[in-house]
Amino acid sequence: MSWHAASLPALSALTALVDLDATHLVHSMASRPIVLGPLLGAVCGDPLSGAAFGAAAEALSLDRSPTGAALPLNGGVAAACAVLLHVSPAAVPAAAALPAGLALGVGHRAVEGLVRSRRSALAEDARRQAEGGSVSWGRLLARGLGTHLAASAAFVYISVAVLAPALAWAWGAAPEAVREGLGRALAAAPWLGAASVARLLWRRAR
Amino acid sequence: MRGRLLALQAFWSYDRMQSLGLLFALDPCLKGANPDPARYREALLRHMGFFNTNPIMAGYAAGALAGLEEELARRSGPGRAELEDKVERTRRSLGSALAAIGDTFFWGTLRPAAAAVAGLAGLLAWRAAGAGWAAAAAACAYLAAFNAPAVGTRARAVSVGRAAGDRLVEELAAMRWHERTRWTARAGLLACAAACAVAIASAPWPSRGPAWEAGTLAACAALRAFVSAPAAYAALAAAGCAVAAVS
Repeated sequence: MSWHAASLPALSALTALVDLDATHLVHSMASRPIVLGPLLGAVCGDPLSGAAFGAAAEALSLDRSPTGAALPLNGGVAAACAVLLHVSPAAVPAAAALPAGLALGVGHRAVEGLVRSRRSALAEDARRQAEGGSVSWGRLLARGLGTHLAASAAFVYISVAVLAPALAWAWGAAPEAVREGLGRALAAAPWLGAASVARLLWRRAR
Repeated sequence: MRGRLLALQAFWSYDRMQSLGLLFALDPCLKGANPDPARYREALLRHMGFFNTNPIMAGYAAGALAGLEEELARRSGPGRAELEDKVERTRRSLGSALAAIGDTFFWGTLRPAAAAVAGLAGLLAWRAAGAGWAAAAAACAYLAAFNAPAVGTRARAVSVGRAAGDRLVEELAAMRWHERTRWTARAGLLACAAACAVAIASAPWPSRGPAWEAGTLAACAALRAFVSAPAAYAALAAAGCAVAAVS
C-alpha cells in the first residue's frame, strides 16, 4: 500500500521534475538516463540496477536528437520506468523491465506531443498581454511547466502501477525460451550501446 | 538574461517554437531600453514571431538581438524602419545558423562522446572501487563531460553575440566549430574503444570470456549498421528467443 500511496507518487514526481531538464529548463543533462537511472536507483536502494538501466537506455536513445518539433524516445522516462518496474513490489525482472521501459519512453512522446499542442494557447495569451503593454511571465511559466510536470508524473505513475503486476504475471507465464531470449538481449545491451555510440561518433570524426 | 535563457523552451509550442522563451529572456533588456510604454509594446510584439535554435547556442542570438534592440531604441526617423527589418532578419537567420552548429556539436557529438566517457569512468570505478562507485562515477563523468563545454559556451554567448551584432555569423565561422566537432568525436571514439577494451578484458558482469564478449560486440556493430538502436535491441531479443527455442 505504501508503495502505491507514497513511494511511487513521490518517485513519479521526482522523475517528472528531473524530466523538465530534458526540453524545458536548463538542459544540464540531469534528465539523461545515465544520470537519472543511477539517481532513482540510489533513492530506491539499488544504484547498480539504476546504472545498468540508465546506461542501456542512454545508448539506445542517442539515435535521434530533440531538435525542432522532433519527439525522440524519452530516454530519461524509459530508464526511470525500467528502474521503478524493477524495484516495485512486483519485482519485474530486468530482462522484462528494460524493454518495457523503452516502450514507455516511446509512449511518453504522445504525452509530450499533447502538452506541446496545448501550449499554443500560452503563446496566444502572451500576445494578448503584450498588446496590453506587459506580460506576466510568472503565470505563463507556471502554466507551461506545471502542465508538463503533472502530465509526466501521471504517465509514469499510471504506467508503472498498471504494468508492474501485469509484467510480473506475464514473465511467470511466458515460455522459457522467451525469458531466455530477453535475458540474452539484456546481456548484449552494453555491447549494442557501445556499437551505437561508436557509430554515431564515427560519422562525426571523419 | 543568461538566467532567463535557461527557460528558453519552457513556453515551446508547435506554431512559434522558442519565440516566447526568447522574448522572456529579452524582456528586461527591452523594458530597460524602451522607457516609453508604446515603444516597449512595439518591441514585445516584434519578437512574437517564429524562432527556433539550439538552446545552448541561443545566447549568441539573444545577445545580438539585445544589442540591435538597444540601437533601435536610440534611433528615430527614417532609419528606424530599416533597423526594425534588420532585427527581424537577424532573428530568423541566426536561429537556423546557430541550430545547425549547436545541434551537430552538442546533440550529435558531445552527447555520445559524454556517454562514452561515462561508460569508461563507470567501468574503471567498478574495477578500482567496486560496483557501488560505478553508478556515481558514470553519472558524474557524463555531467562533467557534457557541461564543461556547454556551460563555457553559455557563459560567453550573450556577450559575444552583443559585441558581434549582425557580424555574428562571421564570428561563429572563426570559432571553428567544425574542427571542435571532429576532435570531440575522436576523443569520444577513443573513450569508447578504451571502455570496450576494459570490458572485454575483464567484464564486471557474469561473462563467458573475452572471446564471447568481443564476438557479441562485433555482432552488435554489424546489426547496428543496418537498423536503429531500439530496433537492434528488438532484433536481438527475437534472435535470442529463437535460439533458446531451438536449443
